[in-house]
Amino acid sequence: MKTFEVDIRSLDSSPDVRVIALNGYLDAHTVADFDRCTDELIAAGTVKIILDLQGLSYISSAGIGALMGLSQRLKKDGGELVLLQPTQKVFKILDLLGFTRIFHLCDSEDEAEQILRS
Amino acid sequence: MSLPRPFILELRCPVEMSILSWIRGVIAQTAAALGLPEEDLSKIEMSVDEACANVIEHAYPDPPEEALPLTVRVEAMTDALRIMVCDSGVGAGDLRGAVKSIEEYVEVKRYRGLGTHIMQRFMDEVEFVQSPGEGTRVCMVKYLTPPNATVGSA
Amino acid sequence: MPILPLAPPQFWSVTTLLVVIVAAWIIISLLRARIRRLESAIAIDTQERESVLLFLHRMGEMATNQSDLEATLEFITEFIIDETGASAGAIYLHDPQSEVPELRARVVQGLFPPLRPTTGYVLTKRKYLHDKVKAERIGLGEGVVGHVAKEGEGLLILDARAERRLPTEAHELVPLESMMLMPLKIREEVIGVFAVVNKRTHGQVFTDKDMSLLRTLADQAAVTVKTVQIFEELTQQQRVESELRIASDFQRLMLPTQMPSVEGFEIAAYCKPALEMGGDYYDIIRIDESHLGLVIADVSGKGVPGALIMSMVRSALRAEAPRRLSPADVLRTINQRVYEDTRSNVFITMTYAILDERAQTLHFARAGHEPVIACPTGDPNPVLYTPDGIALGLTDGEIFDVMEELVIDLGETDLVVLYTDGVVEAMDEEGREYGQERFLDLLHRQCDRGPEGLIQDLLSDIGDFTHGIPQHDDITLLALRRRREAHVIEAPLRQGQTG
Repeated sequence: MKTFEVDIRSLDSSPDVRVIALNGYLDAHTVADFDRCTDELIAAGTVKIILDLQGLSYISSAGIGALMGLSQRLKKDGGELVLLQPTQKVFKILDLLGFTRIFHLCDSEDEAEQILRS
Repeated sequence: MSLPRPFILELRCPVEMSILSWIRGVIAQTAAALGLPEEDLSKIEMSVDEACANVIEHAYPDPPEEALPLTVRVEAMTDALRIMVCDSGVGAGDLRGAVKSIEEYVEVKRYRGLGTHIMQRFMDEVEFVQSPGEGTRVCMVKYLTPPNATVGSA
Repeated sequence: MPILPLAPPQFWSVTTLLVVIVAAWIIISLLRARIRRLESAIAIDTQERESVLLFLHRMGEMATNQSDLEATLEFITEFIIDETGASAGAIYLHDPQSEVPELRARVVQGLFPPLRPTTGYVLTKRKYLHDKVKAERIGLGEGVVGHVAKEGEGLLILDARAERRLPTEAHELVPLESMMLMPLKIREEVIGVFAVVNKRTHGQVFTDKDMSLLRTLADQAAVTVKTVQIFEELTQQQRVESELRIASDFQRLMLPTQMPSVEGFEIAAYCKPALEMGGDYYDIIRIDESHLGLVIADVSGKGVPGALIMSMVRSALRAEAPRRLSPADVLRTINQRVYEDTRSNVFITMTYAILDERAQTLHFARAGHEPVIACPTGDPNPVLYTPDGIALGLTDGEIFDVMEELVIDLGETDLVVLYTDGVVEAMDEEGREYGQERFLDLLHRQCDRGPEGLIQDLLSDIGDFTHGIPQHDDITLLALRRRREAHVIEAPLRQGQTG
């Protein structure tokens, strides 16, 4: 089982939008890697992020906390965080806890792009 | 096919964040093998993960003497699943730090106290027992509905 | 047999055979000696036990008669002198009036010498001798009595003439041969010293066996003396309220200080004495390597007499338990003693159970006590066991002897609970009782909680029910279950690190 990997790319149609694909799980252990990666992006001026969760098998409170922190920082800089296609398991966790009402969740990259443009 | 109950499993673990995925894996497999409802599996897995992360983060400011000081004990009985997460460290907090609601968590913007909130939300009972010199024991209970009984809204 | 210079194989085998025979003979002799020692040890035990039981029996009589300290001390001294075969004895107690720790003889019987250097009076009359002994103030660490009081250990003096700590005048007044001294101890506190001199049978000296008996009797005497002593120090007015407090302190003293760890079983117990009444106690007695006795009892008598009866029953049970593996038999024997000693004005309800660790069974009988409750594995409904049997101390003979014995298979049971009526009779502010139904309901829900957890849950549920109304009766609980073996998995020490 993969532990945690991050893959970063830019959208062809909107180069200022970064897509971070998460693979593996985001827990109290791997959250440090995630934070390091997003810190670098923000330091480089990124304010719009699509977090591709298709490959994320699990998220713990530490992971949710990191997403919340990231979202807040992006908003402060006039940007936004959008979550893309969480796996059923991750969606259920977020939904049970009520985070689906707090995060922007999208089913497709196009939809995410729309939100980030507006 | 499911494991006969009572079934008791004890995991002995190092205090390292990297062990969390292993613990989750064993707990998820065990819960599945016990024939617990799908609904409960991820709740149990996540509650254990949160309790263990708590211990690993807080209980040992200094490296522990024992190699495997973190114990996760799962007691699967006929009508309940009891999970005890025990450490021998200086304490892994208590329920006072838990946020009352997700709204509070979001508004306060400190992003702390979600783990204990999750444990309380996903399990039927959560208790922190601290004894000086003996570390902390987090006891969590999930009551199991008999397979043929009518199930109300979860 | 010719001895050949070059030994053939037969020669070696003969030698080997001889060596084996000699070795076997030595081993057999050693074993025989050991068996003889064991046999005599058993004989001592039996004799000692009889003495102790007789002592308790008398103590029980004295307790029900509310005797004063003087009479209690006189009795103890006489009894111990008799049982140890001594010719004289004295009981020294710490003098509460003196500022520095000092001991004074409170009772002296027989030809007992002064133990401090005297100024040479010739004391011929026994009465004067006793007065002289009683007038002595012995400092902590001074002489043999002071030494025993300070060290808290018994002292056997085989040749008194060679004992330097005895004053030379002592030998002139009483020809001393041997002597035994024993501290009167309650846990670690020394309240006095008991001393006996000279065997009645001329030419004999005290033995280790006498010391062992004296130690047992002194332990029993200490508890009684302390209780009567505290009781006596109070004014009549203080007595009524203090008696209850003393009895409850005493009651705490009777409870086991720690749970024995029993491999394969989890046992938990709890006893909370109420102030105004109650005489509950529980005990756990190691019978042999695979049997454990579990007792829960409720003594009807209030205050000091009730507490002393409890102590008597406890000691009698501890003496009797190792002799019998039938709970009903043990209860019958105890009843005989209680009935004789208490003359029916005190009665005791008790459940006595024997845990067979190998067979994983619990045999039990009850004397008018609350039911034994068991939660069978896989069945949500707790089962109440109510074997026939009436309370101890009410009657004897045939009526009592109808005592049923039941057995629970612990392999098929999640939890067994013994309790006293204080649990189900706990009251809320409107005088309603907690009740058996609520108790059973809790057990039904929490039967897999384990002994310790269940007791915690039950106490907190009773607390919720009574809403802080002070308890009017003792609450005592004893629970056990077979230890559940866990499948232990050790985590891999190093997990793959992420990059």
